[in-house]
Amino acid sequence: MAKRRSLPSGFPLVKIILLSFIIISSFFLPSFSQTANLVQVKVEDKVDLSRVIIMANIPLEVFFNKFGSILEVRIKSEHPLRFRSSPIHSRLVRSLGWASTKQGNLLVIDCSLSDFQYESSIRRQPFQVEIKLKPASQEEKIILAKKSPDLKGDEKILSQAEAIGSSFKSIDPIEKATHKDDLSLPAAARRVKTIVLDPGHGGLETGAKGPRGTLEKDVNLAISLKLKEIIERRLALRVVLTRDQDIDISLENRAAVANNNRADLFISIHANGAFRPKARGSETYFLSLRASDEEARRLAYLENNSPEFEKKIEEESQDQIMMILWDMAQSAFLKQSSQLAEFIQTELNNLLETANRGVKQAPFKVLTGVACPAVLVEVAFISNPEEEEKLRDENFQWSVAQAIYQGIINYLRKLS
Amino acid sequence: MRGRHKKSIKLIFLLILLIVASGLAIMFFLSGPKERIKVIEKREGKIQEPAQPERLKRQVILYFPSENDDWLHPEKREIAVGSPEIEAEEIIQELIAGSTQGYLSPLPPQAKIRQVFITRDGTAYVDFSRELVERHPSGSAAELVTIYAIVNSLMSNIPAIKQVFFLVEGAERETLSGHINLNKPFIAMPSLIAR
Repeated sequence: MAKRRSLPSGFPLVKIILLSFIIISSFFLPSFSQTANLVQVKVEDKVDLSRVIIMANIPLEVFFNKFGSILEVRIKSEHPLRFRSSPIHSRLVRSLGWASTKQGNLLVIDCSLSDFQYESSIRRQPFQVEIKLKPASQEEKIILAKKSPDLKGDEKILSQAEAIGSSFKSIDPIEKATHKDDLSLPAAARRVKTIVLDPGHGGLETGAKGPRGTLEKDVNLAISLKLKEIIERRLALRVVLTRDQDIDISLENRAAVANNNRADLFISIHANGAFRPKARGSETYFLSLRASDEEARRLAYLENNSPEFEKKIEEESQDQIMMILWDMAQSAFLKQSSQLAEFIQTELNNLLETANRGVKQAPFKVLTGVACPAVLVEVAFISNPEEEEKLRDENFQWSVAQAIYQGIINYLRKLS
Repeated sequence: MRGRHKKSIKLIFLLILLIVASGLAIMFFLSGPKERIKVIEKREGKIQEPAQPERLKRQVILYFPSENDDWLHPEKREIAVGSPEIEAEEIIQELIAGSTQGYLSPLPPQAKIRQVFITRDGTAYVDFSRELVERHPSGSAAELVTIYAIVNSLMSNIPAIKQVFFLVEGAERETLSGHINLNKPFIAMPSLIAR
């Protein structure tokens, strides 16, 4: 009896000690791994170039992305990384920024020249990335040579709140996004407040399939997520995705997402598939209305009365009639859609060097109901083995997102 | 003696019966196939006879995609003259059968044409089996090639057809594989044809 009683009274004590030990140690665990993963960044100036060296004690995956005067280095790792840098005295590198999110880490290298070139090389053991930064044009080289190392250029850009005097700054990509490109936009572009991105297909509907088995739906989503990130960081705009995961969404609902969110631009992102394996390059589509006579009449009416048509949508947005109107909503925006397509295609042509493919018109179901300028981008051919490889590559996905972003910016700049 | 004689007669009779029966059996089995062949020959003769006063044929131009470019390439064929519906079905069957000059097939070979119906206003409803969708390679470019190889081939050969509406298993379908709108009729796109 006595033995039996002593056991239950002693047991909770052991339990509490054990539990508290587990709890306490679990608090320390992440910090252990954190101290283990340190990223050190060093900047050195040479005669005609600057070197940025990233060192880490574990191998990392890095992706580069250039926006004007900024070079972004995206660093992938499963554990959080800590960042350390020595003070910067460089003619070319103005500052370094660091951001850590659940998705990954971002090193932002802000250069004093808008036009620079970079080269990168990676060493595995110990892990080190070396980035060489050079001025792109001869003129800039001269300007750079005249600069004394301790003077920092372009004071007007530096005067912005985000440019802190110190050489190191911590940025949060979402909260304190730089929104730099807003400044260059005309007043008319400020009316554009929401962009809806539509990653094509999803769920059971896989879209086209590459010879290696890459699925169109996955590529579409990967590029769309990257484009969303770029837009949100560079512009003070709201970006809505029709899907942010691998799920089925009907084509009509995609248009509804755009219209219910009062989208000002709609961009559907796809990868192309053809019968012939050699087909390559990118294409940007806007809607064509296959003209039965009745439709041609409706179109003529809408083109003559489009301001009224737009107003109607605002007023009766809750109405049943809306669904009928949505069926032909896109016809009022064909001109703007074709312009947007043109700007995006120009950028994609530069990227993929396929000038023979251009802006095209076809009756895409997803575009018919969208009540704003809307385009469908076929990034590259997933049915072509070479382009399938490219589409799988994250660096390529970033460049595609960047090219589409540049197309959007160029379109917004031309708005009046 | 009598009993023996009777027995031997019976035996001989039985033997004769057996020989006759086996002979008949052999004749039956041997002559069977010959007769069948004759019947078939007769039938064939009957079928060919009404065709003899020359079933009219005419030349049509079909459009196929090519390995090397994005255009639709013309290819000549002979089809039997018939009503616009029958001609349309035959044109589509020829497209499914594929090119004789090494062009690519614009439709999955498993697809079948179920029916073509042309309304008085010139809308051709072309009804395909589900393989058109299930076996389709998917992708915008592939969808456009399938649609316009059919629409261009039909409309450039059959003047009665003013527009083409696609059905699958007798029902309307939103798209082939998620891109081009099939809820509306198509008209030919001559700009897609190679020059």
